[in-house]
Amino acid sequence: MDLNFTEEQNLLRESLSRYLADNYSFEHRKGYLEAGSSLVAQSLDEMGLNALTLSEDDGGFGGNSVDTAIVMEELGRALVTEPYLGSTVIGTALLAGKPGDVVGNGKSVAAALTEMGGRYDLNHVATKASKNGDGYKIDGSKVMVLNATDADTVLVTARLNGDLRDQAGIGLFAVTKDAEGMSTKGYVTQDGMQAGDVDFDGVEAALLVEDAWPTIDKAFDQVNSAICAEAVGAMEAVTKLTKEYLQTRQQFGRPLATFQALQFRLVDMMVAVTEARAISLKASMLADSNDVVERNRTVSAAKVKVCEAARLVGQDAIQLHGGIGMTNEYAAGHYFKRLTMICQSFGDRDWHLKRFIG
Amino acid sequence: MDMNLSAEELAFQQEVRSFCEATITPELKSKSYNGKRHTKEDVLGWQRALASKGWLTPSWPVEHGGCDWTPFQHLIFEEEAYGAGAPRLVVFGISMIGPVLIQFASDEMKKEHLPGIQNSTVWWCQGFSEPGAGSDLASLKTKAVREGDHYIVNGQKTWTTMAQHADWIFCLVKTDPDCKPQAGITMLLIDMKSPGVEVRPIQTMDGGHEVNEVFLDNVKVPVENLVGEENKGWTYAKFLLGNERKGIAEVGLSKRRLEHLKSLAKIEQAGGRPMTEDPDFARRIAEVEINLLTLEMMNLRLLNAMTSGSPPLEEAAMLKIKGTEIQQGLTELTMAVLGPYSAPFQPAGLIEGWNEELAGPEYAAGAAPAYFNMRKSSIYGGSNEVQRQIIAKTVLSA
Repeated sequence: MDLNFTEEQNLLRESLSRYLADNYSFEHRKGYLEAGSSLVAQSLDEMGLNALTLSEDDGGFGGNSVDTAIVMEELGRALVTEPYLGSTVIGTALLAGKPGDVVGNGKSVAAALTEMGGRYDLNHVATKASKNGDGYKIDGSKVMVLNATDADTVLVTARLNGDLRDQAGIGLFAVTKDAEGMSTKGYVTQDGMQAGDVDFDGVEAALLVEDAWPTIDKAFDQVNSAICAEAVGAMEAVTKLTKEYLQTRQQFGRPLATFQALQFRLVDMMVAVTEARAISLKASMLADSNDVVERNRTVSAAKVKVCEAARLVGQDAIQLHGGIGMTNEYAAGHYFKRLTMICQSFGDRDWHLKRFIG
Repeated sequence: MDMNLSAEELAFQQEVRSFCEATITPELKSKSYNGKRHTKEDVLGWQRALASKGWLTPSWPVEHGGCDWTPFQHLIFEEEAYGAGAPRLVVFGISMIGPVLIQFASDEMKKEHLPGIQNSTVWWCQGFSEPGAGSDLASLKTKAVREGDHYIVNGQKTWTTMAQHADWIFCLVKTDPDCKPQAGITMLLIDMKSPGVEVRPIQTMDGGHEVNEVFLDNVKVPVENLVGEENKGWTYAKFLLGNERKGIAEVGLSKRRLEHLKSLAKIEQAGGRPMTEDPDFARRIAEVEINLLTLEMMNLRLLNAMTSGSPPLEEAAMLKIKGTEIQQGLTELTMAVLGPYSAPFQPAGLIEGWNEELAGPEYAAGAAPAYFNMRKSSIYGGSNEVQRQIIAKTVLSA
């Protein structure tokens, strides 16, 4: 057993961390969100991050979910809203082994997997795929599709056969940006991401994977591992912010950090972050495994712990800051919102607890 | 001992119910339940309807226009009104400065200011907190210096709720910097139109605008606007905050939120079944419901104690802690029940007159913002840590 990061992994973390320190302060972020655009996604691509987990044959670096976790943790720390998770992580996970020219190296992807009424169950697929000459056409609707408005390609799940909630009979398809019959209603999410609802009305699509459930299930675990790492970065950052605030803010003639009741709250936050970091590391090491049971269990365990930690850390960060934590001008509230939404993305605590039980 | 409403109480409940049904439109009710934002007109419309009925200031002494209701009548009124979808009242005049003026102000001041509160023609806001004085309110720095028949006021107030709509503000200011902090504080009434008063909005993380900074730059305040006596402001503030805590359990509002949550859990599905049939989620709803039933009974006991004297201070603090935790728990579950559909941020959808199609069901847009916003409740009105300190002091010094 070896729990040390490799020299390459340390370099990856350091260079990304340095880039974000220079280009993604909270003030920078505010500016990017107001402008609705930034060159950050392009810079991340130039750093090779979009090709991180592609094989060397596909022009990538042959990385794995531990590498992805390193990147996501740093992105979480800086509250990056650019769609690395919603495009690169989810895209390369779904296109495992055969990315074609769909993902990586400047190509942007969206994954349309969630349906109204399906909640977090990606096997809930009412969207239909039917034969159309040599290809297929897709009819149906997907919701909360990250990066929906900007993607060059939309990866979509659609039912080839079987009943609404069957795992069998789900196909994975690719639809190009300008395909006729595809309409997207875009919106910003509570935490500043771009997403949208996508309707498919007889849209021409290419079949990528015919019996796609194993692919979807593995991608779901890899995405959850990545989002757990993002949460760890965000939690660590907002805990540090809270610690500094308690050390600075004076009430009753002394710093808040001298009140034991508040010290213990801060310590509980730190314990939660440390737990989340430990189990998320394990999830990242197992997220690429083909032992489905062990992978599902470990990732769900991590997500349960991360959801619990994110709730405690997010809520207490606001509480310990007091009024200033409630304002839009201050970073704590933005961490809280992102952490809250992470707990409601790709399965919430209850969902993962159920899956862990089996 | 009897948990049932008496015949008189039932009759009163029916009277309130009929009044609410006749006054609150279905649109206003739907807005309240779905967590959309009330406009100034929504609030004033409701308050003025209550004023015409003589029900806007029921807790005031009868000779000043109060209703002489029993504590249980107050509770019945609150529950009926919230259940019917009433907006929250703006309490700064009705429950805060009004009772202070009745208790401590001169007859001239009462005559000048009480009618505006009773008729809901004057909107008040509260100038207590400052950037450096939150939980430690006594450390406030805003200064008032007497010059002839005026005070000159300089300083900054913050977290001033609804100052953007306010006509008047009641302020705590420092008049004597050389004594124990609490002893040098004075309460002044300041016309928001006075030169030197500037209101700057604070946007909260839910995207809303409820609170403001209020800057006071050489504001001239006539000495007639001094409440009671100079340097007695802390006494008045404590009296006022004691009143604030009475309503802070918000049992009626939480009952409305619980009802809404249950209705959403019937619609929203998990695993192909309604969320009400999901044992984990059903348990979470049940837990908050049990907490609310308990809070309701704690509140009733406290109200009962008030009929025969003053209830223990620590129990009011307990109500504040548990009441706000329940409000937060309910907004959290209302967001959770929506699953992925709590994510789209559609602030325009919370405002009246928005007719474009929203992503997701109509009740979804307000859920996450309400959860974010309700984090304030364990911070304001004396943070829950300060409440625990009050309880600790009271019980440990006994």
